[in-house]
Amino acid sequence: MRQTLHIFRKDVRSLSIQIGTVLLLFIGHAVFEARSWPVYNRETMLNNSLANLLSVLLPLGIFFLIALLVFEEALPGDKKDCLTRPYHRWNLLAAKVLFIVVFFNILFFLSDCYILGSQGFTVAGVLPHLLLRQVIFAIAYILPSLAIASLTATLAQFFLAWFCVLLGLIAELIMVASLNHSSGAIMVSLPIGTRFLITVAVLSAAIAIWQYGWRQTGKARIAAACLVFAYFPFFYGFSALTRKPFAEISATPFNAKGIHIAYESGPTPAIPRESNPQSRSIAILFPLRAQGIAPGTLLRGHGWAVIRAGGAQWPTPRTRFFAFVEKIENQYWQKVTLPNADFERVKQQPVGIQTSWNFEIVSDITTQIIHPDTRPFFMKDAGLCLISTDPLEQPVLACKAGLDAETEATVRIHPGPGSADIQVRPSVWGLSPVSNVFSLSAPGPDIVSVDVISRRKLAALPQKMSLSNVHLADYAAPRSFSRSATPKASVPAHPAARAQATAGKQREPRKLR
Amino acid sequence: MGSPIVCEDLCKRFGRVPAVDHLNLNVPEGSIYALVGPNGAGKTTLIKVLVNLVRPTSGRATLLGCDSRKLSAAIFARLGYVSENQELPEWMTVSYFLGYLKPFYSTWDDTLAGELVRQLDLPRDRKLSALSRGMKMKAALASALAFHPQLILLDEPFGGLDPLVRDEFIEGLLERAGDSTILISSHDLAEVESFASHVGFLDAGRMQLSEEITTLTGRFRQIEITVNGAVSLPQNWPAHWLMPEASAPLIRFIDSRFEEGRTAAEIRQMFPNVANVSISRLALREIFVALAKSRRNKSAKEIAA
Repeated sequence: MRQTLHIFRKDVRSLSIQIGTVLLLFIGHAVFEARSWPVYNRETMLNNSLANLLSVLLPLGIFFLIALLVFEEALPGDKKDCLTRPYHRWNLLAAKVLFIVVFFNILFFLSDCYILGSQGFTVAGVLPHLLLRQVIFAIAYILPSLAIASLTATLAQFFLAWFCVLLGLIAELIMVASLNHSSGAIMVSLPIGTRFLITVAVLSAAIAIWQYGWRQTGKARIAAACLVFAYFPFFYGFSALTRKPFAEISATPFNAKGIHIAYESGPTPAIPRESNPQSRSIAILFPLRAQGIAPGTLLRGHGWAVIRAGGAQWPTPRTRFFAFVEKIENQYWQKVTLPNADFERVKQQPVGIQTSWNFEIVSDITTQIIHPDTRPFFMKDAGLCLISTDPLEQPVLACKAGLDAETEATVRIHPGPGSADIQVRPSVWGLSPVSNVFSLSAPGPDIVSVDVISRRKLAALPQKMSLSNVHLADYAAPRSFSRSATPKASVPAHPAARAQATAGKQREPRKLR
Repeated sequence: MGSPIVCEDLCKRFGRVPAVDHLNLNVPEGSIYALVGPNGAGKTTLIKVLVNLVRPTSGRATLLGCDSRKLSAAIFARLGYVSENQELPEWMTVSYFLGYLKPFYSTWDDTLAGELVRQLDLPRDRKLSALSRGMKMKAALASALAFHPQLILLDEPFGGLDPLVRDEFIEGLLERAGDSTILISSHDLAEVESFASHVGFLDAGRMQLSEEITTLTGRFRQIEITVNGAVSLPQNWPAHWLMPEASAPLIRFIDSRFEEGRTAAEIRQMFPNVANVSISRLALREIFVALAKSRRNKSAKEIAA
């Protein structure tokens, strides 16, 4: 412990100027972020811009300081005096960790508290969230930098290594995306989840511990490179490649807790019009029958669909189309967007469609605030809100969320037409504990009332559904403003009407499961 | 305690190039062992392997009884290391540098450190970055001696030092080293000869010889023979007679196994018509030049064959 403190004191003395610089960046970021709200005017917008600028400079400053800290006793190479001195390596690592906790984590924590407190959010109630942010901060910014710095000896090497890591990750993302990409179906999303965070933390810590404990720079560098380049193929690409083939997806009807979701089997409702005629793709809308959806709740969901036509699978044996639920005038629809060119080839032949769904039930309760206060006020699921005027003297509702809740809502203001779905929450990776400002302008002289429709997740319902012998043309949403298309009044788009119009022409009935 | 430095069949390769090639070494306790050899002989690599700055490819080296790959802080606390390429923490002043190192060594001697600073004429309050190369070497030496190390490793410590600083450096080293074992690698043979007790000649990564300096200088002699009549080098020339030259009426060579009686008998046997024999001692530098040249000639002949 004495040696740890001795090295720590030396590091503080050695890096005092750099510490001061990072401290100034922390303070600047916190102050500008705190002053970017609640008033919504040019001054706060300028402060917000400065806070955004500092949120870019601050991570760079942190990386720079971590690199210099580790380079004080650089482990690679054979020239540093410290390599032949009686350092206890674990004490050395402990001294570096102590430095990081004192000059990064504590500053980050204080900065969070200051920003939250000064903007009107409570701090005491969100301590667990603040501590969780410390963990994420350490995993996102500190541990990878510590690991990379322990494998490099100069700033140029350090930033080059960072660049290579990022380049490698991007290259792998592209590689995995190309494996899964076909005919407009892209199913790669950034894997920034808990598993990703844990993996980054474990790998970074393992590399740093290995290097400090055993100083095997060459082997550690090779291992680190292999781990970075193996991450995506192993955790993501591999699972994509081994996804169950089409034939193995079973069509099991879902019926749990009184909720039953299936493709519509009765008279098919009119297909809504597609609002994006310029697109090179076409929307296919399959009506869904959802039973047991309680009042005050809403069904929504997303899934992956495959289409089988003439023994072949579309888009490819390994890929899926993205599908999601859309509610239009009390009717639920499964929406799948297909490329026009491919659609034209298969639209007249019977096809089967199978979808693997992640349905969820969310709350759908409206809270109305009449004559809202002109001072900052909390709206549940929308955050800390304020009604003020924007630079054009229009009344504007602006909201900002803290760490106390994951907010998701639809907000409407009266008089309209201001309405928007919002998901106001701070970025997991961000340096600020508050979200960006969400704002909604009103056309009138004043905002009379605000409706907040909460979207709290109540249940998750995974389900597989299938439909066979259907003609996609029957479900294609007609284009409202297509220049090339001419209205075909004689052939109704609605399948039921079309069936009547083409009476006498027998077609195999649609099978619904 | 056994030998503080032992190498057994030690190899270090950089790619396909052997820097240290199946080397065996045993440095006696309390000796001042000079490791000499031409550029690229592997002296610096050997010392780096010994202090675990570089890992050996094969073989084994032990330092103070510990495997060089597993040197612990306890071993480093008994080891002083000074190298011409050493990167010191340049932002520190001389005083702060010595004060910073003090807690790492339980045997640190403040009085000795003070004396070393005075003797080596080091400016206490000047930053290491502001010191000349020679002064930095002296600061490194002070930091390597102030804790009474059992073993001192010096890698080319005289490189680039002016004669005055060099004398001060050696004086400081010899006065303060006490009973420590010292391993010093150097090109400066004349300097080494003045204080080393043992010498090892390293060439192309191999140890060509390793023995006490008094023994070595005792068995090398330059011999000049004046003969009557025609001069020619006999076919059965002994392998231990190095660098033979013939220029009538003189024959000159270096005997690497000189013993007064035996050498005289060998000369009479090889040259029955000898008129006069002149024998002179060789400096260490001359011995190593002879060894290096004869080794090169031998290699060239082997290549030609």
